[in-house]
Amino acid sequence: MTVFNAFMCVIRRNLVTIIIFTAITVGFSLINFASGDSAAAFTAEKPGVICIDLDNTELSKSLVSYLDETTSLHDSSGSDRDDDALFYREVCCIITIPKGYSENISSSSDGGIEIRTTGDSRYTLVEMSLARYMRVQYYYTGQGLRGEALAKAVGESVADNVEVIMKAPKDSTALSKAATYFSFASYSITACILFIICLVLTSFNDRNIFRRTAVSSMNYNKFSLMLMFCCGMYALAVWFAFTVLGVVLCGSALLSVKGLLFAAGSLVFTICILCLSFLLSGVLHSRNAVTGIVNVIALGSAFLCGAFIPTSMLPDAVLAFAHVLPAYWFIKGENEIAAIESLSLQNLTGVLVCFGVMLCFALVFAVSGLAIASHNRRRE
Amino acid sequence: MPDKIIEVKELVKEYKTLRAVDGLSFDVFDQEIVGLLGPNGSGKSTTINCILSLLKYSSGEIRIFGKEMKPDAYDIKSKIGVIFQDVAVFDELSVYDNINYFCGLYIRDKKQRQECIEDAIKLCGLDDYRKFRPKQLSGGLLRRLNIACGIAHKPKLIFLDEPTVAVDPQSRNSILEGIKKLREDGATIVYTTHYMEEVEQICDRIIIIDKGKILAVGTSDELKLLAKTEEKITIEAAGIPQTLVDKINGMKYVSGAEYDGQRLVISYSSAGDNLTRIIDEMKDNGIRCSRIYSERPTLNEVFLELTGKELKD
Repeated sequence: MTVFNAFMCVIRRNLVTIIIFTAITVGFSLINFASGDSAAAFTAEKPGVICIDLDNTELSKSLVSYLDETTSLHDSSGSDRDDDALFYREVCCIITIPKGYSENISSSSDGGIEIRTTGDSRYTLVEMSLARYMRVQYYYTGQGLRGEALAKAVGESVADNVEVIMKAPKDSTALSKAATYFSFASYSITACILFIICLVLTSFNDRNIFRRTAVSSMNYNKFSLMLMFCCGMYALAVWFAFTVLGVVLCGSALLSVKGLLFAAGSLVFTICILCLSFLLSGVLHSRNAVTGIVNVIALGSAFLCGAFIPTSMLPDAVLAFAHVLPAYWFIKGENEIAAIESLSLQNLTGVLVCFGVMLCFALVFAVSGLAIASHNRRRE
Repeated sequence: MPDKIIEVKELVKEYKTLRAVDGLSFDVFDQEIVGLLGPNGSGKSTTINCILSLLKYSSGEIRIFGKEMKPDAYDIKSKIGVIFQDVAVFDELSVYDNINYFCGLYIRDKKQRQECIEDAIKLCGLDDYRKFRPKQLSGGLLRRLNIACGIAHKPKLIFLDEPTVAVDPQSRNSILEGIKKLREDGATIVYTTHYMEEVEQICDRIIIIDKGKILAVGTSDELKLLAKTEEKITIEAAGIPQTLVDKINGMKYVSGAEYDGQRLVISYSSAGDNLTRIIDEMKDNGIRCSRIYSERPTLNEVFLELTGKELKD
């Protein structure tokens, strides 16, 4: 209890630092979520089209009616005005249905329709819609239909829509949010755990305090285990706090199996950082050194591994180097969890590989840390 | 005969090419203040570290409270308090929390611990600073905190390894008074220092160490008897002729007389009525003295005669 109380005292003294690190994650996440929301609020817009019907038959009127459904049809205001509308991109094309269109369709698949376009991307949608209409019309023409019967048959066919129902909808926005949150959280988890544990262990491992503890009536092995237990409890508390914070920020997306996977990934990462802090505390001997090294490791990992910048924007050389950092595998794992369509062993393989690599890192850090601690103790 | 608290027999500590402690044997008795006196690097701290099992020694035997001292001798350790030369406290904890932590390594009962902490705070004069953090304390107060952390659990045996290094005179006196108080309360104290004044002031017995060996053991007076010079008389006067200096050099018990034009220093191999005789001699020769004083030999002079070098570097 004595060790635990002292541990808690040191944490309380550094509470401001912990709050700052946490605020960075929350701040970055909220900013990111806010920008993500504007993208999610996209609404479909129909391209503007001017259609000039010179044929004025049932068949041409059917085509105009179809275009009215699929595009935003503008009235023709004369040749010059129409050209202006096209030039200023108010419409993406001007479709002219020539006189004799109803007769021409038996000899020509498009009935001689004239199209003037700016060639911008919105026209692609018009082109696709028109092609669909013409294919149907061509089919019924081949069946011998003409005039009003043809217009009716084509109109009914193109009006048919297939309703698609996704029985297992993938909430990609929420999962993407969760992956983003945990990417940012990798920085804060690293900083919070490394800073506090290195600080506490550096204090406890101070030569003079170590000697005072060693001459006391407390069993030193028991004391070391107690200290490690406190560090473990603190790391778990940090992980739990960030997971709960994730649920608050990302909502119900984390209250699912995938949410559990996100939490499991962050737990494995937390264990890895805990082991790294044991290793670092063996080689760091001053508070200033702890502050410097923790900033270098936490910020360096975050930038190199894609916590702040998407990995797709990072140069290959940086990504190749990032492979030797646990944060890379954590962020990669979280992104893979977000991309999983359905839960199966095959789909989970990539995620499990990332978890495995992090555990290997943890093992290496723990063994190295124990070796250094043992060496330090012998030297004392 | 008081009980033996510490028994050290033929203690040897060797490093690769250095024998830091070379066959030390000594005892420390109950409620005694024993001073380990020696220059830096003489083996004082190494001896203490061996006694506390912080260092493995090459050979010899160490018994504390009649039992063999080992790293896992927790029953012995529970009765020992150690104040190291360097301040060993947590920067993050307050004065009270630091004492509470180190006391908690020995005493689990919260109520008993609180009483001990209050006593330690009172003894070390830290009552006004209990909420201060170490960085807010002066050097002297920091040393007092260091001592409070080491003695809060009321140990029966206390090791103080140069606790007054870089401390102002006021704090030093306060610390020394505190040490005397601890002895009055029943503690046995081993005090390591290279300040001979402190040793003379508080120690019952002194062990002089150099190059890992004991040169002499005894009380301050006993050790001073080892010096060839028993008394030194200094006369501050101008115009003493060389003939008079030569005459003084030839007087009984005078082992040497040196005059630098302002000050005549006469060393005597035996104490007696030397001062009366030298004053008469000055009067007879018409010398007007501004100041005359007599001194007993210091431990530094004892050390100088035993080793041929000064105690202080």
